[in-house]
Amino acid sequence: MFNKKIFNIVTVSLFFIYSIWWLLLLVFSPNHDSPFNDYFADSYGILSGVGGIIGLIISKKWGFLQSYMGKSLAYLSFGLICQFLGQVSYSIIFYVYNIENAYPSIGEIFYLASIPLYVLGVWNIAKASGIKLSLQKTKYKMVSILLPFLMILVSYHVFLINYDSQEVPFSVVLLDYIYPIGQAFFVSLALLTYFTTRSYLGGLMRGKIFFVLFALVFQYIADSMFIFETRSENWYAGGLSDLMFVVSYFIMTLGLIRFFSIDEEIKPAKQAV
Amino acid sequence: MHIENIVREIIKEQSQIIGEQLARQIAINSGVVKFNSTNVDDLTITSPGEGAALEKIINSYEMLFGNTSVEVCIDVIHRFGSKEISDILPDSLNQRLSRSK
Repeated sequence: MFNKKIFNIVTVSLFFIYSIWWLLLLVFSPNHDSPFNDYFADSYGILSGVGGIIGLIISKKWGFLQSYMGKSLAYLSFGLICQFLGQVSYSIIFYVYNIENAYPSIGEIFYLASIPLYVLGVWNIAKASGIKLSLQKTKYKMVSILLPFLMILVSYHVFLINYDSQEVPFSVVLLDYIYPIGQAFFVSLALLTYFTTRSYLGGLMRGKIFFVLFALVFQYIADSMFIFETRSENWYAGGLSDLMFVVSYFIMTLGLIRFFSIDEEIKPAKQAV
Repeated sequence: MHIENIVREIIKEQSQIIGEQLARQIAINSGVVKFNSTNVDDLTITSPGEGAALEKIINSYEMLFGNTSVEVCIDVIHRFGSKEISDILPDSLNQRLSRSK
């Protein structure tokens, strides 16, 4: 019923549509005030929703929540679905209840939830990739402590050091701290997994796993771009950070699809007659 | 019988990583394991040389995660007592076992 080709066609088609849409906005909406800017910003999450559903289907092949790989694919997929639900929530608030700039609202529950889900996804990838073996070496033990600490420190320095919380509601302050620090944590885990397992990890899974880790790093870059634009009041609907989210959802979905055809890839080569 | 227990345990360990369905499939693809029922414990080693069968299983799983998969298998063998079975294992596998200690 499901096949890799269909998954790829749907994913690439959605990415193509939103990429062309973004380019058209660049040309025909130079002031960024067209309603199509808003429609773009309120709908591109479809790509993460579709990607999440595809990922959940694929995770069943890997035992779903019964194995490390199944768990990692499932949690990453749930993370994508949360991104979609976050956007849907804000869209409902805007189009149904006519409330603009509703931040923070119920959508943040879903966006926030994606952080621990991504952390769980990466952690299970790390376990499947043999991080326990790598962490037996002292140098990697040190890296496992220093790298997340450094990433959080860098995130704090870049995003929070000049943060003025005066007259800002507590909920906003809380979210403004949690997002960059939480995202720094999952990306540092992804980088840690890559650096500590690359000498052990081989076989069919090496390329697939590193691709997904790269997708997570790209998601972090997209999130960081969004925070930058928002803090400097340069964000607009259908802007660069929205495009980067489209790209990050696309890359992550492609990464998940790569795990689909594993049963074909492990078949022994037929002997020549 | 000892080798069958080791193979059984290897498949269970690999199931924790990749899921039971794939772990069984890779074991079957190795050509040395036959499952007699849907229960992963109910298996038979079909290859005549038990030591060689163990190496074939390890090579099959190696295809998936490389050295990471091999280390999982070798860890299982060590837990069962690699010294006791070293006589029936191929030299290449004994070398891998001694390198990983």
